[in-house]
Amino acid sequence: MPDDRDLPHNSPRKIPEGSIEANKRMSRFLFPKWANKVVPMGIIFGLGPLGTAVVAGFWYYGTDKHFSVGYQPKQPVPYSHKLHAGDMGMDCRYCHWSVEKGAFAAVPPTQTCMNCHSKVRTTSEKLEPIRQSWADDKPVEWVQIHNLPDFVYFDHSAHLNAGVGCESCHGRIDQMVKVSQEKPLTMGWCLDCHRDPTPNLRDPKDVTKMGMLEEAEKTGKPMPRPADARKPVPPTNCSGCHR
Amino acid sequence: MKRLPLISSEKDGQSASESPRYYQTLAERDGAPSVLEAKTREFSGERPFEPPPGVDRRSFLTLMGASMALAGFATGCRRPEEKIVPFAHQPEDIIPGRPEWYASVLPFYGTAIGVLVESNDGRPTKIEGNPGHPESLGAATAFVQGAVLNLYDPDRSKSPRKGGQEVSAAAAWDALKELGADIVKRQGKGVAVLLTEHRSETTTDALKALSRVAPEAAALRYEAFGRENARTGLQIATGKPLETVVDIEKADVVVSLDADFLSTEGSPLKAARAFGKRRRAENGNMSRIYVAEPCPSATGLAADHRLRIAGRKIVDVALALAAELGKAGVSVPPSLGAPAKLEERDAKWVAAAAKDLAKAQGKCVIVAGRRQHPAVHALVALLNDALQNTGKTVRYTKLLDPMPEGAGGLKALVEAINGGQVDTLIILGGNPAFTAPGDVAFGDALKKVKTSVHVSSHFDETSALATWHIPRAHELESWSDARSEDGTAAIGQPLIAPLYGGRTDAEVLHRLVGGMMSAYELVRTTFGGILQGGDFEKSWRRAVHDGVVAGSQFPDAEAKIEAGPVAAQLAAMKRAEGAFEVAFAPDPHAYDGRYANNGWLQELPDAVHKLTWSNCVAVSAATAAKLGLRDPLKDGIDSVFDHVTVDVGGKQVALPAVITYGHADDSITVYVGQGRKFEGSVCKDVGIDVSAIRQAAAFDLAAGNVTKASAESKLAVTQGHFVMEGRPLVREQTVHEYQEDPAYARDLVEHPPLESLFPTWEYPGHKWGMAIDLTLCTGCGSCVTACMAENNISVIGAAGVAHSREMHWLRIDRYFSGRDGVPDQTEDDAHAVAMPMLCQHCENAPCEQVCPVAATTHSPEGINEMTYNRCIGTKYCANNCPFKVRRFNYFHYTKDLPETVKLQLNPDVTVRSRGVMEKCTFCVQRVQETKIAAKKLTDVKEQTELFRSLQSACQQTCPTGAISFGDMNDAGSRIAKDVALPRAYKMLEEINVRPRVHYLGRVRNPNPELEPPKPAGEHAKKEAGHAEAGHGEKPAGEKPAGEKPAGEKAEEKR
Repeated sequence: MPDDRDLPHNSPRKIPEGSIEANKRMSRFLFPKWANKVVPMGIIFGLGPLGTAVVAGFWYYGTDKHFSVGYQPKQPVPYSHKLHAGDMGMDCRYCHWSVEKGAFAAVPPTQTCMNCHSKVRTTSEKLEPIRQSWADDKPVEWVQIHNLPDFVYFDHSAHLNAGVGCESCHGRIDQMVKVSQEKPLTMGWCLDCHRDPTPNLRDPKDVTKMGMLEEAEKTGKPMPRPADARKPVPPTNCSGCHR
Repeated sequence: MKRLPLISSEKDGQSASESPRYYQTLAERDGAPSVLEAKTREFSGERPFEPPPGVDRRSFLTLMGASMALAGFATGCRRPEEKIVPFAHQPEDIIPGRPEWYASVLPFYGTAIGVLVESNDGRPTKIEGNPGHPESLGAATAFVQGAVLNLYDPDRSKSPRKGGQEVSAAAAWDALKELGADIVKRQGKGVAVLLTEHRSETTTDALKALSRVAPEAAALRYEAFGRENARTGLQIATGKPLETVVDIEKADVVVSLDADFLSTEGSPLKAARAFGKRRRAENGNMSRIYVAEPCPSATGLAADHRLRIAGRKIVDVALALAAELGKAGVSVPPSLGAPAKLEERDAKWVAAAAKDLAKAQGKCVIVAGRRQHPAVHALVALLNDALQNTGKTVRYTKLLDPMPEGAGGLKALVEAINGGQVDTLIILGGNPAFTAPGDVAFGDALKKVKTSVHVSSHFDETSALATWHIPRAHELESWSDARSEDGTAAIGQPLIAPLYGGRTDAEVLHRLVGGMMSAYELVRTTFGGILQGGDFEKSWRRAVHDGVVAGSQFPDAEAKIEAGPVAAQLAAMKRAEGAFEVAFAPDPHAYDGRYANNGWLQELPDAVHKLTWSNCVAVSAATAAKLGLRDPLKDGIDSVFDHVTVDVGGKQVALPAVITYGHADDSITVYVGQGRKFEGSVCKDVGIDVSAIRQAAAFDLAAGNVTKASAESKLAVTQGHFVMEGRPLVREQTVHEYQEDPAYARDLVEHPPLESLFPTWEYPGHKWGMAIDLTLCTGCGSCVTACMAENNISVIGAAGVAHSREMHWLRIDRYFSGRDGVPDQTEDDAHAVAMPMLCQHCENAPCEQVCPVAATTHSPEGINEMTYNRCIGTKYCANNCPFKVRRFNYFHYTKDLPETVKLQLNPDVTVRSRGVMEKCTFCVQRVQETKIAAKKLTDVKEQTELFRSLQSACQQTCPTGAISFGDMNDAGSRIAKDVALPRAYKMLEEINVRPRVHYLGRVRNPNPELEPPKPAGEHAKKEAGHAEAGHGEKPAGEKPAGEKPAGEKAEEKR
């Protein structure tokens, strides 16, 4: 069937309009008929899935679970938790002393470092910022890793006194040379535990012990907890955390 | 068959027509169309958001879109890196994130208020009253609350200045020493020291030290609103310099002659606490309060009998009272002078008050107002003595530092300067160039002084004229001390190092004598004398910790009151004669000007006029009509007020006149303290300076002429904002009626059984609730300020308030009413009731049901939660709130907060941004903090005690103790007892929103002679009505306390 579309008028050679030759010559400038479907089909099968993939990708991967987990910033002093808390077995509370008393788990003052390092490794290059801070009375500026939004009012003491261990939220700190964030710290993740805290509960005396959670998972037995320990009722309403 | 709840609105509610009608404005009473329209709307009529001027909608949206896109790309995917900065050397006992509390003391009202100050990471953030201090007893006024914001005022002076040029602190300090050496060399000749009512013994001692080496130096005290009249009066009556200490708790009858003793005069917190104890109908033994005053005050609004009478006639009231007391058998000296003839209404009031006083001899008190002539104070002392009150309800103690004071003293100083007798002037605090009387040209005189030093928190009007300016330390940033009116000593402990190197008065005086001691050492030296016996270090630490030295009050002074000199003074007393009386009062926002740069106070609607961000003249409705002033609150609420020109002694000032129902006729009250020339970021262009018409000879009460001026201005009056439908919201009765029918308030509104489509929720754990006793609320506004401080509530400015966008979570509605049995003759005879209004935390909350994103939800303990991070700002919740208590952030009010003001913010409360709704949270941060603390306790009894100690910010500060808050499930708590009272009612109970805030019906204690009790039949009729309406089976009065109100019971049966 001849194409009955209008043809361009500026043909280089005079060819009678409407002739078969003319139609033949011009047809190579025309899109074939199936091309009409390219754009809508392209949108449906090309851009559509691509867009969906991008949105879904952001939806899923653009979350704290993927952006924040594994966050491992460079600290002013390459402090190794593995060495101090793991190998040497120092209790978490030696440095993070306020964790059972207040909302914040204190990052230790320079003083705490100097308790030992005025005698141990006094010439270490890596410890220079600490000695400098001690001499100048200027704090060391550590980079925050576990960072909750400002509208969240998290209280460490409430969790520890209920018997939630450090590792439930911070992971195996005793195995980290350089600390990174292990849990997503999202609201959904918080609520999972607030709705059913039992798997994370242990004897409040053991909160700083590491490895108990893995042990419990492996054996399928809950962590040891005295029978008379207070049964926590964690809030699941908004004002429990947002004020 | 289900019946829809009957809504007893103005038209169809019979119960409403039986009780007195309450209205906020006359426009509301008369049903002006604008008010009817306002009632149906949730927000004011203006567009909710105005784009910046000069930008049309299209380009605005383009810009907004572009900036949003940029913001999205520029910030990247990870949030910015944040630092944790611990101490290098950790101070002892500081737990990061946990506030510390320190006791301190603030001198104010001519006394000293002990305070506890919250410190978050070294920043003082909130002031509470110190329960151990006898002048605070745990409460605080709005001004005391606001003191913490003054500390962070960004316009404070940051450096000493010489001739207006900044100089180094060291140079200024050296110059002071040199000046001191010069003064000593001259033996103090030509030197004057001008002080304020500092109440500090350390300053007094330093001044004594100075006068030892410079004996000719003169010292005087000047306050724009001081106690000189009371002191002079007592000096006349007793011949000694003494201070009056009143204890109204022991008084069955209190007669106030123009004294606002519950709010701005005397020792207001002590008096308010006593008022709170003596005004609970359940306890019996209610005291009766008579107030005679020209302009309604918080005390007047709370009184049982308020007499509106011009201030200049108060002396006649006092004389008539003396005569009536004599008739009633009290041994009053007869020769005091005859009063001018009182009007019949006034004479009746006086006679009734006198009879009551005579019946309660030794258990009553008469209080004279600050602005009354000394002769009135002397007469009142005499009458109190005749009533055998001396030593019981009235005590006299020694005056801390007697010296010349008042406007007269200042005038003498100016004359001395002009006469060349004074060439060196040391001004310690205050701002006399602004506060001085208009006919005392203090500023001009100050310019003539060769060397003048002004120690002041701001480089203000006085500093600009002085040769030297030294920054003055705020009470929270330096060591100080203060004796309260009864002499109780307290140490002012600093919470922060001086922000701008300020010095205290005592330090400056000490420097002048060449001393090297710091403020700390000076205060310690003073207390070496006060804390005698035992280990000094131990008792010093105890005194610093407690914020008060127990048992340090002055002993009662020997006071023999003589009638002769009192009568002579009364005879010599001149009354302000003239067409109009002009009474001066401290501005409720700025006080004498010192709080003018404080946003919290400027935006606090005052108890009487509900005015913000301005001062005004108060006139009665009758006087306004005579002057031809339009009443904007009568014609519909447009808040445009006519100005009046006030002429006193040839000096004129024009300022807006606010019609104040209940003001005395032919008398006006002018508020002093606004219109500062000092260009602070807050006080610039706020209000009008009226010091020109305040004259030394007629400092507090003057006579003058008042005419209508041509100008008018729109004022930010919150009266008429957030008006609610005219249902019986306020419920009150007399104590006689209460004894007959204690459940009147609860059963006033008839309604069918309350049924809900939603299942009833059980609250087995905590059940937070609040009760507000309307008998005790004076409308003072302390709670509003405390709420702003605790909850980071934004100050939005006059323009915003005029658009009805004030952010206060707690507002105090003031209703007028004709009184039962007394025909509502004119609006001036109406009486007022204050009613705090906040989120009612409805169990069946209408706001929660309409939020599309579940940003407002209900906690299992009954708190209506507001989750800001979820809110998308649809404002549906506010549309659906029958109480109109939700506030919307139309702008990013916190964006441009000065850095120093940010230091005040409470870290436990989210700072809200633009586009979110907010409202009262029942101080959920305090609730949560207490719950976490309680979880650490194992002893149930200790836990209960802890929960009973939990207080909301408004409750904690309330001077009269009107508010109770806590766990309604704890039967032993005050809140459980309060809500079980028969007079406890819930507002709009009939629409079944089930509020958690309970109001305790107002109970007045009128004198039956002035207000005869209503016949009993009326009440019986009302009860019958309830039974028919299915309200409850038993007659309301017989229900045992503790039983739930009938409405809830009906629901449970279902």
